[in-house]
Amino acid sequence: MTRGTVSVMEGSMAVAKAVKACRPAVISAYPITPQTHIIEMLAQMVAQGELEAEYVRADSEFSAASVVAGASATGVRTYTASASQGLLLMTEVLYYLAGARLPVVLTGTNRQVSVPLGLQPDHRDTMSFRDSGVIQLYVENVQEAYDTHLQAFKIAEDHGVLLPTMVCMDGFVLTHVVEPVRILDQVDVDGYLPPYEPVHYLTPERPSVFGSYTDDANTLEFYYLLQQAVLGAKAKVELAARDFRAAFGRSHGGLIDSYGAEDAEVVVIAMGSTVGTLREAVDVLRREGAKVGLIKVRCFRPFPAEEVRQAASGADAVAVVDRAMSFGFQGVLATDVKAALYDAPAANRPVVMGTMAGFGGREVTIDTVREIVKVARQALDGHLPAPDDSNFIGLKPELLPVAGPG
Amino acid sequence: MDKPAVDPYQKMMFAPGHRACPGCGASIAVRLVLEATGPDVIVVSPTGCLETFTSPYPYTPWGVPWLHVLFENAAAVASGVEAALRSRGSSDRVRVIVIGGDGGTYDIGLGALSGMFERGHDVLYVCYNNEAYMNTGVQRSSATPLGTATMTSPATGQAWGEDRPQKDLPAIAMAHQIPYVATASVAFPADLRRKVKQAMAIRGPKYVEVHSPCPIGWGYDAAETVELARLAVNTGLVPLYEAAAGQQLRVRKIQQRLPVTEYLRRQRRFHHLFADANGAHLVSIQSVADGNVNRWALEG
Amino acid sequence: MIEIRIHGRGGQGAVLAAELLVHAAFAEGKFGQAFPAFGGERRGAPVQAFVRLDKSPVRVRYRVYRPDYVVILDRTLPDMIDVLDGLRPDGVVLIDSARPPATLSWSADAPVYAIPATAIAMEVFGQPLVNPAMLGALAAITSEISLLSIQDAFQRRFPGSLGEKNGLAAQMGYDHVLKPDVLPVRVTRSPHVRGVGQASAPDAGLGAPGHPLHFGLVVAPRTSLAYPTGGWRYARPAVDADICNGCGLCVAFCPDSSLTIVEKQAIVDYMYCKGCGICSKVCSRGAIAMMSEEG
Ligand code: SF4
Ligand code: SF4
Repeated sequence: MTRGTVSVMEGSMAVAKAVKACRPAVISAYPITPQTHIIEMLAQMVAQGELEAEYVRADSEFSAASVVAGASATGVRTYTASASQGLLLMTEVLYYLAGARLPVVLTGTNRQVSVPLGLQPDHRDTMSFRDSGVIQLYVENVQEAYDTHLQAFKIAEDHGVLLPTMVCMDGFVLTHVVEPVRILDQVDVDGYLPPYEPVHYLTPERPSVFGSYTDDANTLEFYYLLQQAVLGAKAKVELAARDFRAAFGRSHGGLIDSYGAEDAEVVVIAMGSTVGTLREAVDVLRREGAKVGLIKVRCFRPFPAEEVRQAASGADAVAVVDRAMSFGFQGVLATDVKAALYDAPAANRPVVMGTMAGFGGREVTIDTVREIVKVARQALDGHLPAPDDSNFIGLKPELLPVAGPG
Repeated sequence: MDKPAVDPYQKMMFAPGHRACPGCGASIAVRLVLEATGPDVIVVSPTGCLETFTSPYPYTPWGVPWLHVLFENAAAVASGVEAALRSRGSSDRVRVIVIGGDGGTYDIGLGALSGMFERGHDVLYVCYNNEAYMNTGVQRSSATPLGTATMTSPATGQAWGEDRPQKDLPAIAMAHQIPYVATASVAFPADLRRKVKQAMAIRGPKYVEVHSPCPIGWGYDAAETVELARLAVNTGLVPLYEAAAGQQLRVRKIQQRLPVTEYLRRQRRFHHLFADANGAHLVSIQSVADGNVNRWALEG
Repeated sequence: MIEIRIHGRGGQGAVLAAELLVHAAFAEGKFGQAFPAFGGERRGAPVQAFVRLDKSPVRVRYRVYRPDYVVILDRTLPDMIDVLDGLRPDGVVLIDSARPPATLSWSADAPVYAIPATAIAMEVFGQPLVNPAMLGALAAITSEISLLSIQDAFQRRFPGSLGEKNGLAAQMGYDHVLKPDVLPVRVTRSPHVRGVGQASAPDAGLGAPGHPLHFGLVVAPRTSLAYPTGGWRYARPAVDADICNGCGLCVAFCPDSSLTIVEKQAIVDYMYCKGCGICSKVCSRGAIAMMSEEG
C-alpha cells in the first residue's frame, strides 16, 4: 500500500506542495512559462502563512539563482524554478553552485530554447547543464515529480554530495496536466527529510570565505574532487529512492527504471514524460508479438553508465529517444548510451540507433514508437537509415525546402 | 622593531597580506568601511580587483565572513544572504554589506542592484569607485569620467578619451526612494566612517559610494592616493553628499575650491588633455565641476 | 634550444623583456616564443615570463622549468621565491644589483652575474627601467643573441629618442659584463627563502595554507597573514620616534593594515608593508620618511 492521500490536481500544484513540505527557508524565482504555476502557488502559500519561507521576487532568473546561491551559502534550504531561456540565463550561477557545492534544489520545467521561440517541451534547456556538475533527475509523471522533489533535497544535502539538484519535468505535459496524485502528510515528509545541516556557512561567529580565485596550482585537483562528488551521488540517488520506497511504498526507479527490458530484442531508452507513452507502447507492441522493452534514464547526471549497460546489453538493438541534440553530432542521450555500451563485451553489445523524437515538442505517440522500433529493426538488418545517425522521426517532407540558403 | 609586541591581527576584519597593488585606494576604503560596521557583518563582493586580491586560494585577508559568487549579481546574492538571515532569525544581530567596484555596480550588476533596492532588502551596498575596470587592465566603465584615457577609450587621433559623461548612479539609487544614499572618499576617513555608521543605523537598502583612487589605472605615484582623492573632492569633481528617500540631506562644503587642472595634471590618464593647445576639453571638465558645485551647493 | 626565465615584479616589464628577446632573435633568423605566467598578479607582486629561442619553430607549450638562464630584474626577489628552481647544471643567473653577487642577501649554487641595471637606468632614463641593461648583459653572456638585435628590438618598440636611450642602456649592460674584473661568482650555499608569517590555526576542515583542498574552496579567515607582502617593497617607511606623537592618521590610510599605534608610536609591520608611501605623505608632522630598500 503506498502512502499519501490521493487528490486530483495540476502537476505544478503537486510540485508546489512537495516543495512546501520540504520547508525551504528561501525561495526565489522569476516568472517564465511553463514554470509560473509552481511559483505562483508557492507565493500564495507564503502569503497565507502556510509556508514559513522568505519569498524573494527576483528581477531576473539570473538574480533568482543568485539569491538562492547567497541564501544557500548562509546555510539554509533553498528552492528555485525556471525553464528554457530562464534556465540558460541562470547558467553561470548553476556552474558556480556546483563548484561551490551549494545544495540548491530547482525545478526545470522543460521547454524549447529560442529560436524558434516556442513553449513546447524538449530537453535542450536542461541538457545544456550536462557538464556543470548539477545533478539532474527526469520524471515521467506528476506522482514522480512530487516524490522526486522530496528525494532531490535529500540527495543534494547529503554531506557526501552537497550539489545543486535539478528535477526536470516536461513543461505543460507535466506542469499543466491534471491527474490524481498522492500527497504525503507533513509528518511523513519530516520523517523522510531531516532539516538541512550545512557543513560550513557564512556567520560572524565562525568567519569563513566562499568563492576563492585560483589557478592551475589547484584546479585539476579541484575538478577531480568535483568528479568524485558527482559520481558519488549515484549511490545517494539510489539510496534516496530506496528509502522512499521503504517509507512510502512506491518507487519510480533509482538511477534507471526498466520495463520489459530483460528479454527484449529491441530496447527503447528515453527520459521524461515520453516514458509513460513508451510503457504503453511496450505493452501494445508485445501483444502484437514484438519483443520490445524500455529503459528509463531517471538520473541523467551522474550518468548511470554501468546500469544502462547491464540493462541493455541483452538486447539486439537499442533505440534512444532524444529530446535534445548536439547539433553537428547527434542526440545527447544517444551519445551517452553509446559510450556506456562501448564497454560491454562485443558479443552482447547491441546496435544503437539514435532517434530524434519528441524534439521541439513534436508528440510521441504509440505510432511514433512503432516507427522508432522499425528504425531499430532496420538497423539490425544492416540498413542504417540515416548516415548521420540522427533519425528525425516524423519529419514532414512538405515543409523541407528542396534547396536554397541554409 | 620588526614586529609589534602585541599581535594586532587576531581580530582584524581586513588583515594584511592581501595582494592589492601598493597604494590601492580600494583597500583603504574596505578597511574604513569595516571599521564602521564592526565584525557582525557578512560581506558580499562581485568579481573585480577586490575579489581577486583578497581570495587567491587559500589566502585571504578577510576576518569577517565573505562571499564572492559572480560579477553581475552581488546585490542579488546579498539579497539571498539577507533573506536567509531573516529566516534564521539572526537579521537583528548580523547585517549584510556588499563591497564592489564600479564595473560590477554601474554596469554589469545594475539590474541586480535595482532589484535589491526596490525589494527593500536590509543591505548596505558600498561601491568603491575607481572609475574603470582595473582588474582586467583598465578599460572604461560607465563610471569613467569625461576625458579619461583608458585602454578602451584611448586618447589617440581625434579621440580624447572617454567622450560621454559619467553615469549618475547615486541619483539612480535615489530614484528608488531608498532610505539612504551617500558619497564619500578615502581622503576623508571620519566622514566615510560616519556615513557608513549612519547607513547601518537604518533598516533597508542603502547605497554608499566611495571614491577610491587607483595608482595603476590613473597613472600616479602610489604615495599620492589620498592626496588625489582629496583633490577630486576639492575641485568639485567628486561631490560628497547624503540623501534620504530621494531628497538631499547635506553636503560636505569645499573650503577652498581648486581648478580641475590641479587634479587632472597629476594623472597620466588625463595627460593628453594638456597637450591640446586650446584646452577645450579641460574647459568641458571644469564645467562638470562647476555644475556639481551649483547642483549640490558645495561652496560657502 | 635555450630556455630563459625572467623574474620580475608586476609592472616592471618582465613580459616586455621576454617579448623583445623573441623579436631580436627572429630578426637574426631564429625562432622563439615569449609568454607570461598568466595570473591575477598585481603591481609589485612577483611575476615570471618565459622565453625559448631555437633554430626551428618552438612547438612546446609549457612554462620553462629547466632554464639555461635566469634573469632577475629585482634583487629582492630571491628573498621571496626560489628563483633558481630547476636551473640547469650549466645554467647562468643574471641579477640586477649594484653589489657583487657574493654580498647579496641570497646565494646560489650557480654562476651569478650582478648587473647594475638600476644604476644604469637611473643614469640614462632617470627612472628604474632595468630591462635594456639586463638584456644587453644577457647578450654579452650568451652567444645566442647579439647586442645589435636587442638594440634594434628596443628601437622598433620605442621609436625615436626613447629607443636610442634604451639602446644606450643595453650597451652599458653589455659593456659591464665585458669588463675584465667582472666575473660570475659561484656560491655554493643553498638559496634561502624568507620565512613566512604565521596564520592562526584554521577551523577544522576549512581551506588554509598547507592543508588539503577544501571541497568547495571555503577558506579560513585571515590566512593572508601567512603571505608576507613586505618583499614587494621598493622603499621602507621609517618612523622618527622623536617626531611621531601617535596621532594615528597614518593608520587610517594604510592600504595594507600594516601600521599600529603602540605606546603613542606608529609601528610599521615590515612583514606586510608594501612601501606605498601613503603614510609618509599623510603624516602632518613629517615623522615618516621613505628609505630606499636598496640601501
Ligand atoms: S589595479 Fe587599482 S584598484 Fe586594482 S588592486 Fe591595483 S590599485 Fe587597487
Ligand atoms: S608605506 Fe606606510 S601606508 Fe604604505 S603599506 Fe607601508 S606602512 Fe602602509
